[in-house]
Amino acid sequence: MLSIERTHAAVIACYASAATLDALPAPPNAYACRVAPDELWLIAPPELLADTERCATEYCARTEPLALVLDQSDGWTTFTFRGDEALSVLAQLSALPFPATRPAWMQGALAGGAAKILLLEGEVHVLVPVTLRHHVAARLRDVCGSLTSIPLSEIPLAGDARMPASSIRAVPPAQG
Amino acid sequence: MAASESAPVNGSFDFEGRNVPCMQGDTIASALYRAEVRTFSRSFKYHRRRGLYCLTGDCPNCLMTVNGEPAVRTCMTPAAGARHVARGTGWPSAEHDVLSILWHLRALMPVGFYYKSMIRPRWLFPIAERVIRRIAGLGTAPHGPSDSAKECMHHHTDVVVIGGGVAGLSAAIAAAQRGERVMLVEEGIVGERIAPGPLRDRIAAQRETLSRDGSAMILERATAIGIFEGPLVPVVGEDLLHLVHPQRIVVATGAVERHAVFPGNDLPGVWLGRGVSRLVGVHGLTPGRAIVVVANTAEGLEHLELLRQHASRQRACKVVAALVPRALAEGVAPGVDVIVDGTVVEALGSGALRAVLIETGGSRRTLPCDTLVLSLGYEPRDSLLRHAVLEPVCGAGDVVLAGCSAAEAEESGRRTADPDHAPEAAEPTGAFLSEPSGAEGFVCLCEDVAVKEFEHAWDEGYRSTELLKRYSTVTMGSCQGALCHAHLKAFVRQRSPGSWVGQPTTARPPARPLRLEDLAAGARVPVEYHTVLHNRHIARGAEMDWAGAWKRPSNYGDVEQEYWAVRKNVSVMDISTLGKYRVAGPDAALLLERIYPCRVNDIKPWRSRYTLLLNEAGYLFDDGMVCKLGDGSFYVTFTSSGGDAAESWLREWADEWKLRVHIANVTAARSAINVAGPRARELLARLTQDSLDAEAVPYGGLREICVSGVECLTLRVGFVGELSYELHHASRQSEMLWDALLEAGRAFDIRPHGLDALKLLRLEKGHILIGQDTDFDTTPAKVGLDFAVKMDKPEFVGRTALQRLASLPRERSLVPMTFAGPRAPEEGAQLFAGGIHVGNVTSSRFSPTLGCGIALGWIRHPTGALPTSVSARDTVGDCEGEVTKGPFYDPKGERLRA
Repeated sequence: MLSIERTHAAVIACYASAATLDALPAPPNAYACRVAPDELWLIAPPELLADTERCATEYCARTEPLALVLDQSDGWTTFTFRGDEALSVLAQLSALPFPATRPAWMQGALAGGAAKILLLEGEVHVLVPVTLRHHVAARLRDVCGSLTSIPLSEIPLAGDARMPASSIRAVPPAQG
Repeated sequence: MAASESAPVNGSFDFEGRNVPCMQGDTIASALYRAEVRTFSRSFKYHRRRGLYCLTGDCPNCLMTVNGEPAVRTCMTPAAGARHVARGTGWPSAEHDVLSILWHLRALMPVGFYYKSMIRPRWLFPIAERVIRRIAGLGTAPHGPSDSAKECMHHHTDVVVIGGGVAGLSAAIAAAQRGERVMLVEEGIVGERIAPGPLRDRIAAQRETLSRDGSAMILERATAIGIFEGPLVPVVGEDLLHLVHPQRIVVATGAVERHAVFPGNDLPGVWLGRGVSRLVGVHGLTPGRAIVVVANTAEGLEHLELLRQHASRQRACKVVAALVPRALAEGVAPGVDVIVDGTVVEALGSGALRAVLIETGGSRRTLPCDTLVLSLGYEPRDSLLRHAVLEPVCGAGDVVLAGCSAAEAEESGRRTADPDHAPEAAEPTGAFLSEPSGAEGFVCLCEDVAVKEFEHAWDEGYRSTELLKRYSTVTMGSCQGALCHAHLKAFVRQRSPGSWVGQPTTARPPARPLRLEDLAAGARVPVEYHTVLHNRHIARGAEMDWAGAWKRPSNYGDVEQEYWAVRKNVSVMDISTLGKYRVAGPDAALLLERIYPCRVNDIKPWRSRYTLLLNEAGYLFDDGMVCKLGDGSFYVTFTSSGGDAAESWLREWADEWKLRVHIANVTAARSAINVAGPRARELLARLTQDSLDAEAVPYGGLREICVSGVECLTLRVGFVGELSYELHHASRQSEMLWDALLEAGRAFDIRPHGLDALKLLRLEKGHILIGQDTDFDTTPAKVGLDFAVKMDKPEFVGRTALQRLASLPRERSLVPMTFAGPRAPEEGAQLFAGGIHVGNVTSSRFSPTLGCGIALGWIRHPTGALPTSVSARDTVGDCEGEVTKGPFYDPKGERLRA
């Protein structure tokens, strides 16, 4: 059974040289996701925001003083999908070729806007700009309406579930 | 199983007031045929009666309005979903069509007549256009939003095979056996169009093999409408638009039986062989009582045999004669009158086939019949192949080997899985018209184009396939050339042998008709950006409007009160839509110094500067603020609509110059609220312990302050011309800050202002809006922004161009104007000086403070001197105005520097 929840995640964006980011020690329970050669995101459960930010800031301050470490959590809303039909739903909103491997990290257009997608075993986290969260939620309701096994009223889009911690610390570089 | 008269009734539909029962497996066309309907449509131009012809979706004859949707191919559409079916053409009805008189007036309507007539008087054409459109028919497009909301779905496969015949199935099986991800697309149900027999059994076995493999996805009742770069193959399904992204494509769309051209070739009762075969073999229906078969192919003999057997079972019908070439004569079963090497000269009848005139051995004879079955050869259904010029596409089966046997088709499909397989090209088609025997035979059934009209157009000088196509509209109808394209090519090649002018015309999507809503699948919902305060605005009754990609408050119900709140008290505005960026790194200052035309190096920490963004041509495309936070650390803003383009601009130049700089988009993460008005400082003082006086936060300065518990980067700016503080803060705290400001502002009669008030406020200050007041070739000097350009800087983007432009006289400027009286001219109003048109108004409002209309507008001044007075002409009338200088309001800027 497909479930979609609107979740909240800590997003710490690090902007530094590629060499600095390559060597960045990912804090525990944070996913290190490469956005660009000079940009890396640490995605973590919200309660780890401060620890994650501190960890990244300290490292960058030591390594590259003019690097930027920014809390971008307020800029992104996360939709967390669970269930076999998750990719079928996403395929109706995005042309991205979702890989079979896990974990995987992708970036591209989804529902007409920008999205970052973290594919883990059993769940998919889709991060969309907070300025588009209403739109993505509406489009999810639209496309899920065509999945007969998912009654529209059962999609808890308004929830505020927490992103689960994970021991996976590194995600392959961005693609797509 | 073939549907038959004995099959159970499976529902019914309304057909122009009649109840038409349906049998299992019926299409709408077969159900109507069973109900004795013989006139399926009236032709496009001459309103000739048209009956079923191909039953493969290749001709326009069966187009009807189904459930309110016009131009539905009823031969391809299952009857099960039909509720209301009607013919879209004919007046007063398709059966009794008064407009069929047009056929007798055809001499007055030669090819291209509508390009030449109804030109004068000019007022006549709009009327004539409506009349012609009504006469042409094809139904009426439904208005209003569709009740279906089709979505799209993306698929990533290794191979997509288009066509579920022998060749397509064979190609799909071969690819699946190689371990490739395969999608097979079939317009109908695999095998359903084939009459029971060995071929149908073969296809069923192939399908079973493919399904057993499990790795292939079979999309049925799904139509591939084109091949685009990528490659991308859009496939219109019943519920979804499938967007298939394959590694390679196999086109196995088969061939259509050749459309023969002779006078009367469009009469009801004239059939293509496969159409009759399907009618008889699949639907169990009898095409007529007296049947003549013309068979030039082995498949034609199969059709003949099917009809002969059917006739022997159904005593009400008989195969009168079979015209076959000598080589096939021995294949005809006994009992059929065989006419060797005969050709059809004309189909006789008025409204329905009565007889055929044939020629054999130099003599002519008439064969009475009501059904003429033509199986003359094949034309590849290759438009999809012709869409794909550079894509990895190959053909299989009839589409490249027209007329091949089932075994050859299977082998052809199998070969496509071989990576070394050389794509096969469609063979050139055969001779023109199979012996043209009259000028009034129809080449194009969609557009009613006859042979004589080709000749007419040729004589007028339209002497290539592309020109003939456009002039005669042949191949431009709903069949998209399926039947007529070969004839077009053949005609030109016959007239101009060996010349390039006989090349195939360019094939363009869609290859098959589709609904407009199919094109909009998944894209019908506009993407609108909301700030995190969106719901707060709605709750206050804001009227929301588009501002670029954003939805922003235009007003909160009373624009004038919002305006006065800013001018007299205090107001707030959600400006989170501004593009907001952090720029940092060892080369951050260098990047900005080179990008911006203002000086950046001398900006002191915690100070800001207004700046323009120019392209290499020196043209203005955005503006904003650059704020220095420290060495190598900047906060920059751009306009609400220009942020993304500006970010790309910065990144491109940073890459180009190989600078060590990081650019972080914080537009969504950081919201901003502008607190503006003479009492803004008083309001904020109630919410912060930090000092906000002119010394602590001077005009152009910035400072981190805490407002009602929210950490804000505060910028002193002056877009509206009053004391203003932009509070940039974390988006999660935006609602809290907004509420606190409005609550504390009650004592000051605070009210938020929207874009309507903002546009008036900034206009009074003479501030331009990029996009509204600028054109694509606006230089800073033209809009009075020279102060923001430091030409003494050694370099910045656009500097060279500006230097060159500076040596040229400026002949056009954006100027401020005032208009006495109670109104301002409309935006877009035309400007005249001395009775000569000189420009147009770009922004205008009535200024409550000044008590007159104010405007910005472009004025041409080729002599160098600006006119002193202008006249603005809009939809209301003329306004007399004066060209002025400087801001209309607070020209010295004392209020915003307070």
